[in-house]
Amino acid sequence: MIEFINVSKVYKNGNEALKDVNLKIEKGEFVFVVGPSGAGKSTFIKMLLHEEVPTKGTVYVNGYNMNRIKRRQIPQFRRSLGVVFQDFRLIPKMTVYDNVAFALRVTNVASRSIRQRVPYILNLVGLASKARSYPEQLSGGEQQRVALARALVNNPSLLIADEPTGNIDPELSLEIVELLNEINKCGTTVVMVTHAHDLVSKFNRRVITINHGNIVSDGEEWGSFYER
Amino acid sequence: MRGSSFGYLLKTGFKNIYTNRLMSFASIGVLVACLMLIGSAILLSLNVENMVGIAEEQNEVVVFLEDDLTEKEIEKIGSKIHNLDNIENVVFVSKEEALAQEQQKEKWGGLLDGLDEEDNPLPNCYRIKLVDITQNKLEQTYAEVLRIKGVAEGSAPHEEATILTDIETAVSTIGFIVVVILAAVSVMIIANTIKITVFARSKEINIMKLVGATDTFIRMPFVIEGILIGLISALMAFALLWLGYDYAIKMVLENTSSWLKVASDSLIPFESVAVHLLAGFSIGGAGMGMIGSGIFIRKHLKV
Repeated sequence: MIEFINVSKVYKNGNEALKDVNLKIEKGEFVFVVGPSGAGKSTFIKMLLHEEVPTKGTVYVNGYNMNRIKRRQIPQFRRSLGVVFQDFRLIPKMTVYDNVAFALRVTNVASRSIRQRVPYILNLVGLASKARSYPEQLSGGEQQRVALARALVNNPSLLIADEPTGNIDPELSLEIVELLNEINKCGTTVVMVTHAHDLVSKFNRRVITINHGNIVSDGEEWGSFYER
Repeated sequence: MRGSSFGYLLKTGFKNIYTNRLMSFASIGVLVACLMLIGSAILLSLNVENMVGIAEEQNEVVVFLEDDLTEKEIEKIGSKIHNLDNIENVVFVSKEEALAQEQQKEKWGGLLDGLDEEDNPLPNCYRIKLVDITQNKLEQTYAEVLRIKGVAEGSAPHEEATILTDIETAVSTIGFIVVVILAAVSVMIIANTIKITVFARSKEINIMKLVGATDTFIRMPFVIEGILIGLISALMAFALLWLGYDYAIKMVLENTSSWLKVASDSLIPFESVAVHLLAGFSIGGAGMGMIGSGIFIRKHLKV
């Protein structure tokens, strides 16, 4: 599903974000990626989305080689994965329904399947009653669930969550991760980048710890990067 | 592309114009002004051309024939002239007719008093009207006529031809330059409007990329917006130009002291060019909109 082979990334300003990273995430896994600010987590996510390409090494995502993928293949590739961000990235002038439908409209899906698919997904994230609301009328947790609905509406095989609980109250954060957990149970691979120690410890899942561009631990517990 | 997608793109294009209504309004305003100037330049050129055409009709080439020709030979020269290019019509004026006409003239007529058929000094001649008397054509045709056997000499309106040619060249050159400059300005204005829309929607564009919208799909609403702005401007400019032109003609016709009165008969009525102008404006407006948004999108909307 995801494979990093000897991946290094050096930005133009000389900043070495990743150093010779090797990593494999199998289909159906649920993985937390943790690490302090500036550790290389953002670069890791950007490579999964083809926003950045490695300086050295090879990245495979959903069967696409990120170094070799052609420009016109990128839209097709991105349809195979869903993303949620810390800042939700909803369109404020669209209703909840339209925000979710947007992801289908811009990918050439027929109106009839949009009308079937969107209510189904909104129901799944528990927001069916808020379909006509605007993002600003919702709480942070609800907005993130809208973003999650938008990420899932294409039925992706991989879900990437970049600090999805960063802007949400702790008690609502748990709901979000539980939702991700449910999604994972249905077969979707989930990669979640986070700072929230307590959340990670509540779920007994694989944890990849990154610091200074290296993977410092990979197992079922939080790596001890604070001491390094 | 699906029908529903096309509908979505069209709707988005319209919505963009409304969302940025202040900017859209400003650019439509400037575009209308540009298109009206373009239209005025075109109408002016057409009218000048028309007037030049009327002036052309009033100028003729006269060729005098040798004195000792038989009637048959004279007729043959006539048909030879008629067969040349660029000939509108040919009229034969005999010695006698010429003498009679000249004697009628108030100014010099007196000098010819007392002359009769026996000592008529005037030759037979052909009065030739040309289709096109711009300089080159005139000289060419005139030379061809003079080469015909039996033609002694002639006179042609060389000076008038030069003046008319100069006027036509000047008007069409200036008109062309004006149109090109204004079209470039219009394209830049549309590009600028699109730029603002793109910035206003950068977040949306980013999301579109992330959910896997194709480049074409992301770009299309902006192109549609550009075309719509161009089309709306074209229609408004057309209506205003019609009103303005009719008003201007009315002013010229009512104002008797105006020297333009002389030329007023040759003014082109707007109705006769309306269809062409509307088609030209619409295609031009839409085209400028497409180029304007296209330029910007190519440069700045890296997706």
